[in-house]
Amino acid sequence: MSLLRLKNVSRVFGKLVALQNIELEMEEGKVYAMIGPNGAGKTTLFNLISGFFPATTGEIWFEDKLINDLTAEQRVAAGLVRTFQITEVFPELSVAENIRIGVEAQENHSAHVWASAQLMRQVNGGVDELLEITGLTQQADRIVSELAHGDQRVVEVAIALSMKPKLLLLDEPTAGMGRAEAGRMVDLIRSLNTKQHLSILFVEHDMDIVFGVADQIVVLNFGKTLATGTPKEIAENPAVQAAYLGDAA
Amino acid sequence: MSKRVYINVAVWVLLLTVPLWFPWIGGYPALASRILVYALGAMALNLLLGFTGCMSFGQAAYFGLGGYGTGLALIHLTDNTVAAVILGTALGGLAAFIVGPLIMHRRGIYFAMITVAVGQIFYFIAERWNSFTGGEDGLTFSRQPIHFGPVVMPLNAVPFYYFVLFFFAIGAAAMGILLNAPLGHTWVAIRENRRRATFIGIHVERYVWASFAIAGMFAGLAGALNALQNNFMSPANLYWIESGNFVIMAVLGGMGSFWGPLIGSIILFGIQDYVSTYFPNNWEIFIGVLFIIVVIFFPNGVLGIIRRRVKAA
Repeated sequence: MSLLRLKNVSRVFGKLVALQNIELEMEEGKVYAMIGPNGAGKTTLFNLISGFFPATTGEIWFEDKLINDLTAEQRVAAGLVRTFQITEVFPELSVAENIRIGVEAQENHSAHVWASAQLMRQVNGGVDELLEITGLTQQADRIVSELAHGDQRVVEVAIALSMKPKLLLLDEPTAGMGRAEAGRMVDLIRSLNTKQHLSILFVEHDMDIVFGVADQIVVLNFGKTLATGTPKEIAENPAVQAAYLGDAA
Repeated sequence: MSKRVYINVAVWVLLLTVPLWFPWIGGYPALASRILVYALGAMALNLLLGFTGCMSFGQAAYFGLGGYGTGLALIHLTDNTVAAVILGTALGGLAAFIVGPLIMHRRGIYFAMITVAVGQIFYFIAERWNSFTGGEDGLTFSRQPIHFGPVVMPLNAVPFYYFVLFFFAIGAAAMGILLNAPLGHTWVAIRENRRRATFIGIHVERYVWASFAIAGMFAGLAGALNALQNNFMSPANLYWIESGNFVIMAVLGGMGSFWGPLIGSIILFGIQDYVSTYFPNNWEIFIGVLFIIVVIFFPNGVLGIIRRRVKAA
């Protein structure tokens, strides 16, 4: 069974056809990367999948359920969780507090007016686990706005993980990062996939990262799927070379 | 963690021993009571302003409704002062609960404007409904001594201070518990980043509503105590300028901190009491200048300055 399936999906803004007849099938447990030149429609497709705006035509299936009519919040509840191109965290709170908000929301504790010892043990257990998975244990008590940019993005991933996603959507996870920071993010993506068995779809410009991490690559160009395949297949695809990778490939 | 415990112990010890030390610095019980009453109202506002990030400029409406509720209860319903306080508190909370859905969709300046507008509606009702509220002339009533079986506690100077402190303690403890519970974490999440909060599945508007209703209830409690202190209610207590006073207290003391509004209340009434002796007609200029200085140079209020010092040291 496929985890996510897009059938003939299009999106039109006025007269601009941003996405045209997109077909995409994602298998569970794999890492997919989406690449394409600026304006190819990557972010638009991300927004369609996460429910920021509806598809003009076509069907989006998630775990064999048609999700076209679900709101963004309902898709989060269904297990489709995304991060943003611009870091979205709770800046003046500590790392642990950021994650705690997510854990409490996920477990439907957000409205509780009494923090019983048992509840807090349970919540703190969840927070500690996520701190460890994301390697943020040392920074648990630091205020997020005082962290380096790369660490802030890891916090955002940790918040997304607290939603217990089945498919994690990462929009340019290494944007604005230096080499070392990007390397940490790559390691995190890999370990989330291998250790937590999480399915991941990410948009990325850095080809080293894309070809180093992804099991499957989806290439968009002018709002259409140009090719889908393993890194090797994509690298050898003449259409991709001509349209996107240029002479470098 | 332990530092917070020390601070809380210090605050409560100081509040419990006010009659012992306050006269030494020129204070008197009625001033201490007034400071606590307004501190409670400003702390209630701070749930919305400082912890949920919603600027309400109409908090006086619920403060005033609490006062009218208490006064009218004493006139028409009961001789029991505590019951009157409870009724006033409930009226403030109920009104805010009903108004909540009208305003919870708004943000920023629009939220502030609607809270003012709704607050002014309550003000005009209180001012015009002569037969029930006494209109512009106000409403006179009298707080009754409290009976513990055969023991009677008169509510004059020092006993009244402890009466106020009792309810202040209930209000402060309840707000402290809420802020340390998941509900409080959720409010802070909304203050910090609404968009992010929405996309982890938090229904932001419902939580703004809850914050508004609870802030209204504790404003009602403060208003009930204020009415008892004066044995009198006037529509001025619902006017938007009174709402502004609560905002000034919260901002002066420090919006992000739990005890900030108490500090703000001490500053406001301290200046009013001492400075007005020398400048009876224009003491408010001092508040204005201080407010501008704090907003420009110390956006986290007086407690923010102290905290930064502690951190730097």
